[in-house]
Amino acid sequence: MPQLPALVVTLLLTVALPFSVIAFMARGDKAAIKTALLGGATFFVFQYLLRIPLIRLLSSQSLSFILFSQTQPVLYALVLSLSAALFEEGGRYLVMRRLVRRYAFRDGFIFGVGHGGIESFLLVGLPTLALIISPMELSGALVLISAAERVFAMVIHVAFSLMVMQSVKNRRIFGLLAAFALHTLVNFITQILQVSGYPVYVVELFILGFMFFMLGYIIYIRMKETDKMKKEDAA
Amino acid sequence: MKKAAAALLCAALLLTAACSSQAFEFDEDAAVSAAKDVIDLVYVLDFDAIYGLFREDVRELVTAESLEAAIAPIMDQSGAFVEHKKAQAVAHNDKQFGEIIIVGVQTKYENETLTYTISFDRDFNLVGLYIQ
Repeated sequence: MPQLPALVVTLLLTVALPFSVIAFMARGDKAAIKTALLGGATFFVFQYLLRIPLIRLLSSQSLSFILFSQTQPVLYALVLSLSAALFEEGGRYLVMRRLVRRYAFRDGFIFGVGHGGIESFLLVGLPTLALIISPMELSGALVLISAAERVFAMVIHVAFSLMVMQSVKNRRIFGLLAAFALHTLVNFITQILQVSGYPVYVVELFILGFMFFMLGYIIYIRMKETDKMKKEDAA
Repeated sequence: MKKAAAALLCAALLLTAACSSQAFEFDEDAAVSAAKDVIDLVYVLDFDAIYGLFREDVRELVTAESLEAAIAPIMDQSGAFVEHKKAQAVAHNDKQFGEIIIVGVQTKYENETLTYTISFDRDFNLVGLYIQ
């Protein structure tokens, strides 16, 4: 695919899609819009302002960390994956516990779209805008793959948000731990595949497969809530 | 909760053990000194001399010109040499280069501090040079 159409499709998927989903699901409900903004703020604060600068600082200032990354690529990938899960899932839990007031399926869903949406905007949407303004030689297919990955990631973020929301709602730690473990796992396997030199399509196929697994969880939670509502209506 | 804490502690201990073990014995002072020699050559922009330090098989992967293209812009911005700050070396079994010693050196220049990651084989032939 030529570069410009690929860039436009990428912008639609990484910027327009999450905004449209939020607008459609919130439909003027201010509390739902606030929940989506909190989801976005969670990524922005815990990843963009805290974790990423911390990793950058360690990677440029700590000789031990630099040498560790060179000599222990598997453990290094594990440290990066654990820290991403810790900051993002820990952040999600704190924000949901302290600032979110409603814990229905729609709230968890919209929180996840906000979280994944701001991530896709910052990591892919903004660089894509920059590429449109000042073009560079880049494969259109590669641009589209990065956009597809952000869509997969958004679905995965929705599932993690629902997991953590279940944990907050039911005051049980299992959902948080499951989100933490699965987040670590998907990041770790992705990085190991990359470090081992697997082609990019293998990495993306893995993320796609994981997305379908998490989609199953989203559908399960939705059906559970619908059943509960039906029972309450019948009673 | 106690089980989770114990599991985390075990993981941290395993991680520490994995990080601290050296792949083989080597003279750390000699490795750091060899790395500082390379840094001196980088500072005076002697790319032919740096190229000459590379192991024969690695020389096929780089040229003095490609070294200059990558390094000269960094050194243009860094300013005059001030001092070497920290240095650390580890032994590592690398899939591509075999048994190597990786030396990290932080060097302060007038305008910025650069971190060098310099790799040698056991005979101190250069196999890797990275500056950030």
